Amino acid sequence: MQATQRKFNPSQWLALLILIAGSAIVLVPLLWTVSTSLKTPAEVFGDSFFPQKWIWSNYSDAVQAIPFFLFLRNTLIILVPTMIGTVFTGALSAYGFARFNFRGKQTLFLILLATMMLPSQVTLIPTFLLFKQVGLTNSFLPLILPAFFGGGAFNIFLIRQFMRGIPRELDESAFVDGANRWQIFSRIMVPLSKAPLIAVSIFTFMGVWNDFQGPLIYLNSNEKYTLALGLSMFKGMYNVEWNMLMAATILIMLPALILFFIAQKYFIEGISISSAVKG
Amino acid sequence: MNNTKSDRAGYWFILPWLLGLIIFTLGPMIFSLILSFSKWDVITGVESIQYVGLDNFKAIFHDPLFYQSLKVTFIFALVSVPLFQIASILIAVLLNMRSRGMKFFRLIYFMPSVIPAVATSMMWVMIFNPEYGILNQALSWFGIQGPAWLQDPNYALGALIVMGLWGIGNTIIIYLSGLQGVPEDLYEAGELDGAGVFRRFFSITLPLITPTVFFNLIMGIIGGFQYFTQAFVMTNGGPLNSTLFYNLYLYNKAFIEFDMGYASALSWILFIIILLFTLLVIRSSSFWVYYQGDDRD
Amino acid sequence: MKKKWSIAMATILSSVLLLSACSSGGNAANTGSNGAAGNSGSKEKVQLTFTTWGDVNSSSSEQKLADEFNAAHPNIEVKFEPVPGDGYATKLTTSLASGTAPDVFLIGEGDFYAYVDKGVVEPLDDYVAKDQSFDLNMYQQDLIDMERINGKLYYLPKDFNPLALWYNKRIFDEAGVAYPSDDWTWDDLITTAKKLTKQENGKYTQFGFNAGTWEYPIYTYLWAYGTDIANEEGTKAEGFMNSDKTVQAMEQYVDLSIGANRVSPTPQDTETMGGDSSMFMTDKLAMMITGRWIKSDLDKSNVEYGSALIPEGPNGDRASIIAAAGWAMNSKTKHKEEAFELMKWLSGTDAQKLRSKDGLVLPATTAELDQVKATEEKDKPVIEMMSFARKPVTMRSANGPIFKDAFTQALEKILIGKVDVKSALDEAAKTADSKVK
Repeated sequence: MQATQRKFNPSQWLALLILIAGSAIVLVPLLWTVSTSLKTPAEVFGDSFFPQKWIWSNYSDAVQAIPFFLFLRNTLIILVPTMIGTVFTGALSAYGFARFNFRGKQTLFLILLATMMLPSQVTLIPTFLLFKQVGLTNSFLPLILPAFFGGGAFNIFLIRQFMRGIPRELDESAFVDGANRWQIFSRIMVPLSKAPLIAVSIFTFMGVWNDFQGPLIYLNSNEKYTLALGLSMFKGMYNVEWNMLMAATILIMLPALILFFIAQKYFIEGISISSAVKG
Repeated sequence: MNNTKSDRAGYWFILPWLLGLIIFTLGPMIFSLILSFSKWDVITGVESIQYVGLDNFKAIFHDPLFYQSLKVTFIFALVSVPLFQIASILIAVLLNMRSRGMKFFRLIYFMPSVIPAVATSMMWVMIFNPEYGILNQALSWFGIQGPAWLQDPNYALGALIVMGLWGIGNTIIIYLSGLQGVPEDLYEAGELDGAGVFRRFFSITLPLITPTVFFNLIMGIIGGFQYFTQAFVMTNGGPLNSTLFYNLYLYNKAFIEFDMGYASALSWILFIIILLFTLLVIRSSSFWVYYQGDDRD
Repeated sequence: MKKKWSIAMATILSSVLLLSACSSGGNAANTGSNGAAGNSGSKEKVQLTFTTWGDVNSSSSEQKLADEFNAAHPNIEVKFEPVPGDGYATKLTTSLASGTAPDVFLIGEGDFYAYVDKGVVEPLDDYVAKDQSFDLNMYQQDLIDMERINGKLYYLPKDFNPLALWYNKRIFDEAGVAYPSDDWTWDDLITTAKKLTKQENGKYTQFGFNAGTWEYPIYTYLWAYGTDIANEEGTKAEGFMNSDKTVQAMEQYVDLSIGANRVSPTPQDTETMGGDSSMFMTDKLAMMITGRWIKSDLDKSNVEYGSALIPEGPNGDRASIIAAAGWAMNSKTKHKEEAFELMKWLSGTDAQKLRSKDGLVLPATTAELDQVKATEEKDKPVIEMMSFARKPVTMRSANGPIFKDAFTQALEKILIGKVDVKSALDEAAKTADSKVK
C-alpha cells in the first residue's frame, strides 16, 4: 500500500490531471448554486457570477419561510426506520439470492429485476389505492413499510452482486466449523459487505431525503410534510424565488454531504481477503 | 452446494422481499396490466374503468408520437448507457488510488448526485444558455460557436446526455465499492510481475469488478429507458418533440390527458422492451461476468 | 359490462391485499380523506377539506379563512391542505382517481374545460339559485363568464390575473420615447420596440418587446387582427389556423424575433435568462405582455415599470385573456350543501379583501375592484383589460389542447427556421383537424 504512495509515476500525474479537470467541471455549476443563494432576487439572473452584496440572510429567511424543523423532524421519522429496514432486510434477501440454490431462484430473481421495469407513473395510482384500502394514507407508513420488505429491488441486487463476489471458501470453512446460516450471514457476509451496505445506506438516505413524489401523494396535512416538499414550496405557480430555493437546497444538501464524507472511509480501505479470513 | 435442505433455507432469507412483492408490488402491477386493456378517464374514479380489449394497443401502433418517443428513448439509452459506464469506471479507478486528497476528490465527484433534480435542472438551463451560458463561453475560447443546446432539436437530446454525465456520481460510488472487493494481494502480485497500468486494469481489475459492471449495466438500461425527471423539468419534450422521452409521453397521457388505460398499455410495451434487453445481458453474463464466490464456470 | 369490469378490478386489488379486512365497502367512501381520524369528540360535525397549489407566501390567508370559517360554522370542520405547485396535477389526479379528493379544490383556467368535460366538477347554478344571500352580481361579470362552461356555472373566483402590456420606464426614459398610450396599435408597439432595441459588438444587449412562444399573448395579438387558431366552437382549424389573416399576422410576429430587424429575444434567449420577467427586471427588456402575477416579482426588484392596455389591431379590435384560478366542488362529495357554503366563504367579499390586502392579487368583487382601480395607477390598465377578455380555444372546447399543441409546434418549427409560416400553419391545421373528435 505504501509502495504506491511513494513513487508518483507519470501515469499517476496524468490521472491526477484528469481528476482535477473533472472536478473543475463538476464544481463550477455548484459554485453557481452557492452564489445564487447569496444574491438578491433582482440579481439572480444578472451578469455577474458572484453576488454584489452577499445576502446571508437568505439562509435564515429560507429556514423561517417554512416550518423547517418540523419538516426536518418528519423527514427523520421516515428516514431512520427506512434506513434500518432497507439495510437489514436488503442484506438478508441479497444473501438468500447470492448463496442458496433453491428451486425457482432464477425466476424469482428475474421477477425481482422486473419489478423495476414498469414505469412508476402507472403503478403510482394502483399503489395508492392499495394503501387507501387499508386506511394508511395521510400517514408515514406507506413511505416506511416497504423498506422492511427487502428495501427495494435495486438494493437487493446491489448487495447480492457484491456477496456473490466474496470467495466461497470463507463461508464454507465457517460452515465446516459448525456455524449455522445465520451466523455465517451476520459474522462473515455482513462485515465483508461493508462497502455495498454503506453505499446502500447513502442511496437510501438520499432517496428518502429528496423524495418528492411519495410524500406528495401520501401526505395530506401540512404538519406531516417533509423537507423535499417544503423545498418545492419555494416554487410558486407563477414565480420561483430562486435565491431562497438555492439557499434551502444547499441547507438540505449539507447533511447528505457530511454523511458521505464520514462514510467514505469505507471506500478507501480495500479489503485484504487474507486478513479477513484470519480476523 | 450439495446440501439441498440447507439450500431451502434460502427461502427464509428472501422471505421479507417475497412478502413485500406479494403485498406491495404484485397487486399494482397486475392492476396496471388490466388497465392496459381498459379505458379509464382517471379523474373520474375507479367506477368508470371499462374493458376495451386491444383498443389501446391498436391505437398505440398508429400513434406517431409513440414512435417518436421510442426513437428518442432508444437513442438516449444506446448512447448514454455505455458512455456513462465507461466514464464511471474510469473515474472510479482513479478515485480508488491511494494518495493524499483523494477524499476531497471523491466528495466533489459525489456532490452532483446529492442535489435535488429540480435544482440541477435549473442550473443546467443556465449553463446551456447559448449566449450567456458558461458552456458556450468556454467553447468560444477555442473559437467554437456553440449551438443553442436546449432549443435546437439537433442538440437538445445531446445536451441532456452531457448533463447526465455530470451526474454519474452514484454509479461511480457503486464502482468504488466494487473495487473494494478486489483483493490487495492481487495488485501487488501483478506489480511484482511487472504488469503495466493498463495490463493490470484489463487483466486484474476489470474481471474482478464484472459483477459490478453487470449490476450497473442492468440498472443503466432500466434507468435509461425510464429517463424522466430532467426532461420533464427542462424541456418538457421539446423542441419539436426531440426530447419526448417515452416516460414523459406516458406521463402526459396519464396525468394531462387523463387516459390511464393508454398510459398503462404504453408502460407494458416499455416493460417488454426493457425485459428483453435485460435478458440479453443476463444470458450473455455467463461469458463475461466472473464471481469469485461461484464454484463453477 | 362496465359494472362487472370495475367489480373485477376491485376484487383483484383487494385479493392481493392480505390486510384488506377493514375495507369499508363502496368505492366512493371516504371522500375528504379524513379516514379514521376525528371520530372522537363532536361526531356530528361535517368534515370538509379543500386544497390549493401553494407557495410559501400564499398559504397563510387560506388557512386564516379556514379558521374563521370553522369559528363561524359550529357544525362544520374544514381543513386546508395545500400542495406544492409542482405536484398539484399528480396529487389531484391521484386523489380524484381513488375517491379521496378534497371536497373543494382549485383549478386553473387552462383546465376549466377538461375537468367539467370529465364530469368531476359539480355545477353550481342550483345552489346559487337556492341561496338568497348569495348574489353573483357582486363579481366582475367577465370573470363569471369565464367560469361558465356550456351555459352552466362551475367555478367561483379565487384570484385572477388579466393579461396586460408591461413596460420598463427606465428604458423608455433613457431613449426619450413616450410611454405606451391607450390608443396604441400593434404597429405603434413594433415601431417603438425597434427604437428600444440595442446592440453592442453584434450582441443584443436590450430588447424592445418579447414576442415569445407563449400562446396567450399570441391569441390576443391574433384576435386584434381579427383572427384565431380555430373556429368559435373549437372543432375546426382549417381556414382559421392557416387563414390568410393568421399567416400574415404570424409572419409579422415571428419577424419580431428572427427577422433582420428583430426586437425580441428568441425563446432560447428568454428561457435561459430565467424568463421575460428577469430580463425585464434587469433592464434588458422594455415591453412584454403577461399576467398580473408578474407584479409581485417586479415590486421586489428595483425596476421602474408601468402597465398599459394591450394595443389594438388595425380595425380597433382589442383583446385580452384572464388567467384565473377558480374554486370547484368535487362532484362526488357527500356534503354538497356544506361544500357550497365553504366555496362562498372562500370566494366571498371578505376573502377577496383579505387576499388583496397587500396588493398581491386583485379582488374579484366589483366594489373592491373599482376601489383598486381608482387608487392604484399601475393596476388601472390591467383592470380595464378585463372587459376585453376573451376565451382561448382551450376554454371553449375539449379539443382545445389539440389546436394549441399543433399551433405551438408549428411556431417552434418556424422560429428554428425550418419552415416558412404558411406551410407550417397549413400542416398544423391539417394535423389538428385529423385529431379532432
